[in-house]
Amino acid sequence: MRIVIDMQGAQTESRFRGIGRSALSLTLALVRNAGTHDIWLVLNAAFPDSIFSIRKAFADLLPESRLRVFDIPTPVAEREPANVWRARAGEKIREHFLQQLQPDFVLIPSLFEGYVDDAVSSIGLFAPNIKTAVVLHDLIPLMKPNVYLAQPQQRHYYDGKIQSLKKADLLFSISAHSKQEAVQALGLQEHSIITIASAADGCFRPESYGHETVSALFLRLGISRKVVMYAPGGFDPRKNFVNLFAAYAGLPQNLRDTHQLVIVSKITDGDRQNLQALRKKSGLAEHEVVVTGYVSDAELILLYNRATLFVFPSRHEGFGLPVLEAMSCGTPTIGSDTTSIPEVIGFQEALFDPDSVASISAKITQALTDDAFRHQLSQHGLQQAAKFSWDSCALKIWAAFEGYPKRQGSDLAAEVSGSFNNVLDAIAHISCPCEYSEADLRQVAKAIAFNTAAGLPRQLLYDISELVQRDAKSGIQRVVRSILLELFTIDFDGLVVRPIYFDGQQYRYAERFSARFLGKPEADIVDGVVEFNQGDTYLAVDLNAHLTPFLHPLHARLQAQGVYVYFVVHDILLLQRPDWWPEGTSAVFAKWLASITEVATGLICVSETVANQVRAWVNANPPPRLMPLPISFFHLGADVENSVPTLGIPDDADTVLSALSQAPSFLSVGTIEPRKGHAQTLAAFELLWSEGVDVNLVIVGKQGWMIESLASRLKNHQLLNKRLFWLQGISDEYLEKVYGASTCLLAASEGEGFGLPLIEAANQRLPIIARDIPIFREVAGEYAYFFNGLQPEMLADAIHQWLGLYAAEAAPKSDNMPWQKWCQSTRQLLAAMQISERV
Amino acid sequence: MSDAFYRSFEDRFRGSRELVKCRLGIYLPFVESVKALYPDARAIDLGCGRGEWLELLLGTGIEAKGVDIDENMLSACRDTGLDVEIGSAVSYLQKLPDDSMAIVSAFHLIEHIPFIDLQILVQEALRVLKPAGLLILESPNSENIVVGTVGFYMDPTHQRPIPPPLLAFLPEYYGFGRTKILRLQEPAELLSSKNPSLADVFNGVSPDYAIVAQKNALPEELSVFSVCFGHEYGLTLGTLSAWYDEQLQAKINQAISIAEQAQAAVEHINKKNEQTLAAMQQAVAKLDAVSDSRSWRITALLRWIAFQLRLLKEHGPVMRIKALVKKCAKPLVSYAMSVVDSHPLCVAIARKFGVYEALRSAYFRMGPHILNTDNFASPSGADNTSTLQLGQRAQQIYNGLMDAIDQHKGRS
Repeated sequence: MRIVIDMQGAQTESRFRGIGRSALSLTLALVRNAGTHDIWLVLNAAFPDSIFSIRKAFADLLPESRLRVFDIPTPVAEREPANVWRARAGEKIREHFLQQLQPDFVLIPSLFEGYVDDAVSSIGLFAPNIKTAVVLHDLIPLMKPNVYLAQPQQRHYYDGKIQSLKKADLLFSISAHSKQEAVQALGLQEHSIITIASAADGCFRPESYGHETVSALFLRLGISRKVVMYAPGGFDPRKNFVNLFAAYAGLPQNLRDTHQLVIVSKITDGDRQNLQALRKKSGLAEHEVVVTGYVSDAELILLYNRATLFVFPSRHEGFGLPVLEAMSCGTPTIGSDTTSIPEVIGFQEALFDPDSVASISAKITQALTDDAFRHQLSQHGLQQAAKFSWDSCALKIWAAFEGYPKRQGSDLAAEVSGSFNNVLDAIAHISCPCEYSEADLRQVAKAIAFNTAAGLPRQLLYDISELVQRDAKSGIQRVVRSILLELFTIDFDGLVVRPIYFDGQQYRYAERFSARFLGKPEADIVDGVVEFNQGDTYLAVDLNAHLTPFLHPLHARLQAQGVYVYFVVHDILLLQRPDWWPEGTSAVFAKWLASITEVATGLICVSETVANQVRAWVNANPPPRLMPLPISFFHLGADVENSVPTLGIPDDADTVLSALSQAPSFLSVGTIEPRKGHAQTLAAFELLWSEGVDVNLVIVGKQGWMIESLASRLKNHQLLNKRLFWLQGISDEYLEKVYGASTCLLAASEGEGFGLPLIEAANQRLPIIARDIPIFREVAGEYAYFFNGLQPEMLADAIHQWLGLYAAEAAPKSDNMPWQKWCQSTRQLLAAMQISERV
Repeated sequence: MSDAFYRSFEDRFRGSRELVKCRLGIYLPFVESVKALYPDARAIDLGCGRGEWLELLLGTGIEAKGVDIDENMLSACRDTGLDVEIGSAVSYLQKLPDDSMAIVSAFHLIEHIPFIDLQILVQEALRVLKPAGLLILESPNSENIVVGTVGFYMDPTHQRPIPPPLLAFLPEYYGFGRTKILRLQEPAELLSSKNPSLADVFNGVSPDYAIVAQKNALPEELSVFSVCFGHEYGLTLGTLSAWYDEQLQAKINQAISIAEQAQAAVEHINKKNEQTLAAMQQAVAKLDAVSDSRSWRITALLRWIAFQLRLLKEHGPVMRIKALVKKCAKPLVSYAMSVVDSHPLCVAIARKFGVYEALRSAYFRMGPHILNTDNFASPSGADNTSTLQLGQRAQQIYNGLMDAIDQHKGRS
């Protein structure tokens, strides 16, 4: 059987209250007890934060694909009359979405949502054939309309929900009293309502606390005497403060002198003022009543445990969760003899008449003065509380689903395939006093498109924004192009590769670019707007750091909607050594890194070294997220022919190449920038030259930043083009020839993410001298000669020694150094995103 | 001054016994910590007055004795069975043995005695106290401007206000281990609202304060008290005036930012207006040009043929014919499939003639989803700037929605 649970009750404002917490606990219990049945959870995209916490709660219990996100046009909170059209449209869109999941039953743990925030819930307004069950908490507003439904807007909203409630196939009431209420007030059949009760979380249990913990909390809350506790869960009139205060004021003086009435609940300033006024009127002194305001769960449990007495004078409840929580902690508990409360307390002696001040007063006095009675209350409470558990609620629900008559004849699947236009028709027919706008219709279209995408092939959305906007031909962009080329050649099953770019406002499919890239005509192609769907994968290999402020919210939304968001990290040198870059550069990078560690499904680094560094950074700067951040790595490819190499040989090439082959030539490849160690290299070679050693130094690389003095030293060097060569901006084709004419690659860089030149050298069978840093160890292993130290003398010594080894044919050879091609590299990258598994 | 006068004065200005007792509750965590360390602790209260403190100590199980020079006050204590004795604070303290008391306290006493006596009192207390024992001295807080200028002098027997740092210095100087200043009795709502008025700045600072000084002891003995000594109590003039400044500054900042936003909005609107005007003029000119160009309309067919020829050249004749057949066949096949599938009788007939399977396989070869494989959708919508934000599927749904609305309007 397939059960679809609407999780909105655990997403809205309700999630901070009992209803939301019980929706979550009940669903967890249903999943635990599901046996062979399938459970799907549906989540409203309008509450992204809650999506993350719900995903986390079910991370080990359900596959992620069973949590389906749906979209609706917003805002829909019905408190605002202007939202009503959208609310009606949203109801139909939600039911249309549920219909496509082909549920045997939809369970709504909290139906009364969407008055103050953007939730929609309805039954049978669009898809009457879906079987629906609702957890019925209470019908208090219906019983006391003059208190709770005074506004016409409230009334209208509540009536709508009641209409839906009446269409439910099954109701699960949380108490026998709630069931009775529904039978009487709504005229429902007894057999369609099943009492499942409710439960308290396991953390409510007897605990002992140290003197310091207790006195620290009591000091903060202003508690200095024995505690008579009330956790009302609200301040509406039914919570009965008038009679409670009057009863407390009527206690004997010695009890009042030794106790404080402690009200534990989140409270607004307005409610607090009203309560203080009532206290004064009742003749209670300020210090006799403590109103705690919000307390954490741990503090709440401490208060239950340390309370001398828990009193619950509410006049009307659907269940009365605080009573159960108190009893679970072993707190002596007394309460009203009305509605559901006697069911929960289950002990006649512990009850009083909430309408009689004398009755409340007498019961409190009895409990505070009679130690044996208090002990009895505590013991009975613990036994009674043990009868309530979420698992027992869940088993009752499963039994009801399993025993429900099977659907006859018509198959939901058939309804689904034809119902695409039906939902549009239904929306067109909405009659409502408020107007809809053009923007509303477009939101509707977007929502339906998102909600109906489950049958489409999943997309691998490959961000090539930098490449489309301006190809800076940097190292990173070479990586982006190489991977793109590979992705186009791989035949995925059920997944399409779509390169995309950000146009300043939204992502578009890079259709024109792709055509150009693949050498196809591009004239009539229009780049459509990207439609991100749940289950798609977004991958950014490039670093769009300057776009972070625009992209961060977008990526965060994508992740909430169930798109897997991956970023490749090439290095974090900008953070480790900001002094290697112009001032301010590292701040932009830090923002980018902070952003991606928050929004990414996972990070993929270009080497294990970088992955370790990123892990360390994330540990030191934990991002604000609930799920762990997996950090993996892949190795870049090194086959130049696949990187779309550049061509061209300059006129003076022959002169240079023949000069290089005259003496041992050391090749240094990479942009001239502070971290690359060029200054040390040049100084070391000047030492060697002054000693008369017969060696050449070839520097291949453009002039970068912050090295003006070194650049002028190079340009004006007396040995330039004799022993020292500086080749700027040369083609891949020419570089390959320079490799061929050189004797050894010198990798003197102090920091790298990967170290492609080492592999290129190995590819050319060129021996390598490399600085001893982790990334060069990772890439070159035993196939390079390593040196240490930042002084010119140390590098000069190393070269001396290497020349000795080389002459004896004992220098490490790079020929067998392992490296991989882009086709392997790309597959490694795909594996890191579990693309193959999700196919 | 007559003794009866002072008793009445106390009742009027220090507050009722109940109120005073409630206020003393703040010291309970200290007292409970003492009790935890010394289960049989004894305490002496100098200037015990009506005995509220003694009652509180007895309530926690500490044996407490009071001393006062005012017989009138003491008789009230004796009536309720408290252990009290007449005498002066300093001389009584001098008679007590070393290391005999866990708590020495004096509430609103020290502002009545000469400073030299206060020095002796502190030294004697140190001698009398057990290790980790507490000296509690409470007095009016002259940091509160109204207390310091008016309130303090309301009591004719007061000598001089003792500022908190001065009082805190004494036990430190004479060798106590640590000293804590507790500022007391500030209005609670001020502490939570952090939103003082100017009057609050003058009168809202904690009107009383106390120092709690502790005699040195072993670290594990002292650690029992770490929570009480770690907690911060009360409101200083510095904090209160800083809050006052902050809220004033916040209001000023808010006003500035509203002004800036308004200015930015005006600039934005002006700029938008200029842009819109320019775009409109351009659009009008373009529209005129295109609609005037008859050649554009006449050559439409030519352009289509040229495009097809180019495709033919690039993709080859086989591919193009396949594509055209697919384009034409697709709606036919899917229509046929939907008709057949929705009538069981048709399915049976089609099966009988052996065409059902062929139709089905053709249908599925055309792609998994009609909506998704439709690459021939007219891009005309993309020229319309108002729908620029929608993707292809959303655009189709939007068009469908518009059709549905038009139909509905047409009918009603």
